[in-house]
Amino acid sequence: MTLLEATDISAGYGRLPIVHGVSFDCAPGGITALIGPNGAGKSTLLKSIGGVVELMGGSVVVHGRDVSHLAAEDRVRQGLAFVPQTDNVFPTLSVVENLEMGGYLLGRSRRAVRARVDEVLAFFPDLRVAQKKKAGLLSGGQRNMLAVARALMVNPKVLMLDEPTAGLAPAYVAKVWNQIDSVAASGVAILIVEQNVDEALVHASDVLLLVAGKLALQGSPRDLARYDLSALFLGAMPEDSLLAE
Amino acid sequence: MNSVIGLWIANALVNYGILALIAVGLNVSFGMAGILDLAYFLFVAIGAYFGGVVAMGPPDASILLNHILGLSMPWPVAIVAGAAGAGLVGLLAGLIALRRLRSDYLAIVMFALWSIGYDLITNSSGLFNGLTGLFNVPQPFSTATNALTYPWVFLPIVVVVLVILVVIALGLERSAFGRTLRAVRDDPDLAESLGKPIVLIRIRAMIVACAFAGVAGALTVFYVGAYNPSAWSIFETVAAFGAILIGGRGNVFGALFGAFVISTVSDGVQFIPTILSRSTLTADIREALLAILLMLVLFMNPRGIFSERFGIRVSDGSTLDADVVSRRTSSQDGAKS
Amino acid sequence: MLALWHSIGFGLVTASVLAVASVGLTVQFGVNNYVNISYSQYMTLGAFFTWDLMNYGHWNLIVAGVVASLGVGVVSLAIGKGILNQFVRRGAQAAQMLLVTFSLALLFNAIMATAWGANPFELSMSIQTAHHVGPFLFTDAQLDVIGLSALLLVGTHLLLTHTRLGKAMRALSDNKALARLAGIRTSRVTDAVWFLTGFLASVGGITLAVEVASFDLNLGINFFFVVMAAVIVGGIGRPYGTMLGALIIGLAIEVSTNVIPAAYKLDVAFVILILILLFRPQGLSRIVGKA
Repeated sequence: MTLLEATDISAGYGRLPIVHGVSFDCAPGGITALIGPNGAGKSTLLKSIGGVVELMGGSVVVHGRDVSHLAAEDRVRQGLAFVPQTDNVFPTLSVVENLEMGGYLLGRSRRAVRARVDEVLAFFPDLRVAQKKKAGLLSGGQRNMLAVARALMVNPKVLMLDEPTAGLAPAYVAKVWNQIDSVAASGVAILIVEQNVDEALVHASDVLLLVAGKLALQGSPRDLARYDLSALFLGAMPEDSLLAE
Repeated sequence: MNSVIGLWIANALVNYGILALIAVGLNVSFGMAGILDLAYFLFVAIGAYFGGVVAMGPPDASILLNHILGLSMPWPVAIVAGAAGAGLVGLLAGLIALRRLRSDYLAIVMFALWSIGYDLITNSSGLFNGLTGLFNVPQPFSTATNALTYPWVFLPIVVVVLVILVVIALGLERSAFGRTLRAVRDDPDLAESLGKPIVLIRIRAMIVACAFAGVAGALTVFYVGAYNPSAWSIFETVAAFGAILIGGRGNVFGALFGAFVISTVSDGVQFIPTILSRSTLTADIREALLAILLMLVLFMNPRGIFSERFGIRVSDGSTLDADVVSRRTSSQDGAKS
Repeated sequence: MLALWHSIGFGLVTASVLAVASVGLTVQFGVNNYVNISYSQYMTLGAFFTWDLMNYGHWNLIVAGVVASLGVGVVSLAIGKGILNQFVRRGAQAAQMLLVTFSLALLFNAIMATAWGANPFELSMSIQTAHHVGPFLFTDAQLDVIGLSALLLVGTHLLLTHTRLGKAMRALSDNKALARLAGIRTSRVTDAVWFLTGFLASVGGITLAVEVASFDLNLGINFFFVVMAAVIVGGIGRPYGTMLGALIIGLAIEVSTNVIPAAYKLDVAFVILILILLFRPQGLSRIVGKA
């Protein structure tokens, strides 16, 4: 069973595609890490799947349902949650209010939303102690935690994270990854863009290497150990590309 | 040609000439330099007032006419004085407003400056005679016998001044300074990184635009023989912006064409019969038509009917290479999401 | 000394009027990210509607004011959805929207001039008695203005902090793209913002008309940059900062009359607006991550 099937995706800004014909899928409980050099189109790929950037070609299927033509807010309804890299919280809203907005789709019942907020807060002890604080006053790490927590409010099937550990202190990087691991363990399919390749290889179940908008390599971290990743980052194509299989 | 229709035509042509001057001036600040100068009619007014008081005799308290100066100078000198006065106030406004602000904030600052200018001029009777405004302004070549056909007398003056200023504007448009202005308008960051002193450049554009406005204002005061605050309500600015946006930003001929459209609307409403109980109806219809026209132009084609390339080749936003465009879009997108 | 206290009292009344109008504008500005100059005309329209209902319908000020403001809310919603949103959909930027809403303000001006003319109108006709409240001296109408504004500000506060819709409005104001990613139906929330802010503009206009006793076509446009000043001082999209901004501007305007001629009192607000835009465009309140 796959929760996310991306097929032949092309996307970009204006008339210019940045991502060309990328296909992959994500299974429940798996962490798929998207790695690649700067400007390879990792964020664009994520945004196009999330509906923030228009899809120029290909399709996105979430849990058996084609969401390619849905607006971003409707993709969320289908269980596809996206956490952008920056500006990923509502700064003038408190932590609890941010979570309530994450749970907007849960409906008008205050009690149901409040119950879910408590469940999510129980999962993020760092946020629970700061729940009345305005999100704009949180540390960078807390903010990224809140962004993830906000996305989890509606029990998504697929969670997409754009560099959730960028710019964080090492202690916090470990914390964020621990949270991601346990979210995956609950059966959510995770697609994550990560700059730190070593970290990605430790936690991911699958790795996608994107170079110049194309999928250069795809496989488990163990498969990838065979390649000279730094050369691949510079654009060298692997002779026995796994794509050819 | 001295029939009613003939006089209407002469009057419409004079009005057109003055609005064309106003538009050609705004084309320098808004069209070429991209300054959202909502206070523009303040500078037209300054030109009118300065031109007026330089040409007028000393103030005469017996007929409740108070004003500064009163130099009794010939009208060509007064027109130059109007341009200088407006340019000077434009410099002052530019020093205050033309910093690195969001363009809509800059517009609000200009709007607020207009409000302050309006309050100062209407409330201090010793400056330009307050709400009553200037009257008894000596009119060029005016005699006791030609009062009824005065539009025909005045028309050649407007034509000569318009031709001179259009030639200057065209020269400016094709000059290195004109190219620099557009570069600053289209990508201030890039222009600054290339070492262009963008604040100084925009202030210069502002002074030039205000001087044009001043000439147009001075012509107005001489044509009408009077000038008061109802002539420069904040909404008059819409007419000037309408002319630029209809004709296309940064294009002198476009500004001339846009001014023609706007001026035709303005003079055309005079054919609507006056209803006594609603004396302001024609003015209201003119306002409504101008507002709708400007909104339609903004909706259909924000760049205007003529592109900037009408007649000349210049580099503008559309010629940027795709790489820069995509970089920009993605950085904007990144800032938003 | 007495004059100073009285001017402070006037300042509080002006601040009350300003607070309602500028909270509406700041919420709208925050969500839309562009300045709506025609907002000023909603203020005038509310006062005219109220005058009509009082004179032709023989309703009292409060009932007429509420019904008129609901009407202006609907006008604001219709204009917002039917015209302004369409420009934004076509990719209009903030600077362009300024010209659009400027033209729209002119169109309103022309329509209202045709319907009501340029003559002065009055909303409060009964003879006013003065009340001493502490060191201040207020008329009945002024006390009504303060009370009504306080009621509306508390109501707006409860809406923004205790309801799902109000929190969604604040979320949209913070970050529209993120609000979409949270699954918020942004178009519906925006509709609610159009209606609410039209309502608040109208109440602001009505209370202003009561405060200045006699009003005309230019009521709103003359006061717009004073409202704008309170918004900018308080920070765009910050209702609470804006309430403080309204207090600062309201007091500054009225207390200034002790020093400068009253004819220039609104210019004090314009000068503050210019200074804040030039030197601290994010407003005076504490910055919490919003650009």
